Amino acid sequence: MRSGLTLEFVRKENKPIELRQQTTKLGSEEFSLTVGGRYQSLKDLPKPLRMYLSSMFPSSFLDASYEVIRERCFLTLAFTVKGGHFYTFPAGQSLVGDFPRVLQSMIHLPGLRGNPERTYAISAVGATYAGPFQSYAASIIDGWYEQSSPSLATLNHYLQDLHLASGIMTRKVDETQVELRVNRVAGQNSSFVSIADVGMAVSQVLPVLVALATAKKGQIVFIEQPELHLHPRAQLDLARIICGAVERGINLIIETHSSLLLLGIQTSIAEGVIDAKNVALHWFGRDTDGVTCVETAAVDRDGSFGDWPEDFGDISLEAEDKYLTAVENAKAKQRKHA
Amino acid sequence: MRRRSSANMPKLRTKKIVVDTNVARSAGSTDDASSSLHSRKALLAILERRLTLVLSPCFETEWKRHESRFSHSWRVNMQQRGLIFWVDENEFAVLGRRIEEIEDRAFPKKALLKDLHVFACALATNRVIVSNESRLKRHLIRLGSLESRVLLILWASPIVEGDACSGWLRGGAKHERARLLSQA
Repeated sequence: MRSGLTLEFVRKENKPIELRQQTTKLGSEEFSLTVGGRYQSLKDLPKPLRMYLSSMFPSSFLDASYEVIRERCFLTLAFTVKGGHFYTFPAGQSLVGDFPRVLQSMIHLPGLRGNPERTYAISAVGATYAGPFQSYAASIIDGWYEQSSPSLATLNHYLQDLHLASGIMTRKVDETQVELRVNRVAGQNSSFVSIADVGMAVSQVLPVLVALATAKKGQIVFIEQPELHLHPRAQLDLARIICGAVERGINLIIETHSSLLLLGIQTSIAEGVIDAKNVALHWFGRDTDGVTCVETAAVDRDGSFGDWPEDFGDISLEAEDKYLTAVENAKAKQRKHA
Repeated sequence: MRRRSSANMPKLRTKKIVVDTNVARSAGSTDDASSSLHSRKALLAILERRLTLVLSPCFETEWKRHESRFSHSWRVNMQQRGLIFWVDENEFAVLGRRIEEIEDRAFPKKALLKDLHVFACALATNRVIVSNESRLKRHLIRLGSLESRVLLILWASPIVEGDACSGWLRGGAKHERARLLSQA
């Protein structure tokens, strides 16, 4: 018997998407909570929820009226006990395991990762990273550098694999600011320069590499456009680093438009570097109504994804064909005029 | 958001096509603009219609030796989509022996054995060959008098037919009596 949580969203005209209903499945039982739903007393609550609350709190405490409210991305049970005290309880999600914790521990790297800076603000680094991950990258590297952590060696290997730098170090400017310095020439300490003085690729991919080096087994890392500003060869090399992270048990969600990155992942599968069952491809397109459609393709051991719903891979071939046709036409014209 | 299909998108079962290495060579070659154009059109039609390329290990080696940059990209694209079907070369042995045993000295045994992988791959699958080699076509018709199933091969030539060839492929390479070697 599987347990799970289903969230139902609605989109009303000219309004953003809103969470409407949350259904919790516990083996063969399930119950739904809807935003604004009211329960006059404990006995009116769905049975699994009633039993759970009864096992957690004394009955005198639960003598209250209940209302379902939205709290960020989940629905919460709000209850007012006698005396007017107001409490909230994560109604469904607490019953199905550590769902909220898994989401809260997710590392997110958006497609816009900011400009390279001369100095970065030092931020507190904990077990989770609220908001975009790139704002933590400099502080994490600084921590690794101060402690001579093996993670710094991993990060340096990644940078070398991508042919972007041979090493990275930090320099504290003051108690609140840190500078990131990269070495473009192997073995020469004097050639460390500010990350602001090298190509954009380093500053854009660095948070991605830090995320992959710091993520724990089972943690979700969501990366939008990891290929940003990378040379085609580096895009291909990045695929191998990504596959290494997957093999270490990190759950990666990658949004990409790089056919090279995809080809690199397919190559790693065909080479046996990564198990085919650990990879799935989701194509996002739009139907004629403008509604987003998702099609999922499983991968085989040759790295083939079967047929694709999008023309993703056809474009480069079409472009090559167009170019060759244009050259041939131009040559024919030249011959005609000769 | 709509989810149109779930975890396992099925592999397409499309017609299996043998593409001769001369098509792979001329597609993208600047030597002859017309043959290059029509060979490229044929390859693009195969990809667009999601037809399946038939290869065997030795046939693939030949392909690699002759393919242009364009044909190489095309083959990669076909592989990425799982549109390559591999034929076991052990199946070629019986046919090869039969050709070797032909006693007629004027029979083009050597030429046929050189291209055995091309027509053996076709005979092992849907009996379709896309080729610019008219000499092979003539040799196969001769072989047909001894090995009648060879005459059931559908033949298409990008250079000879031009747009008609790519059009036929785009339409799914359906059975056309006029394309049978028996009708040539």
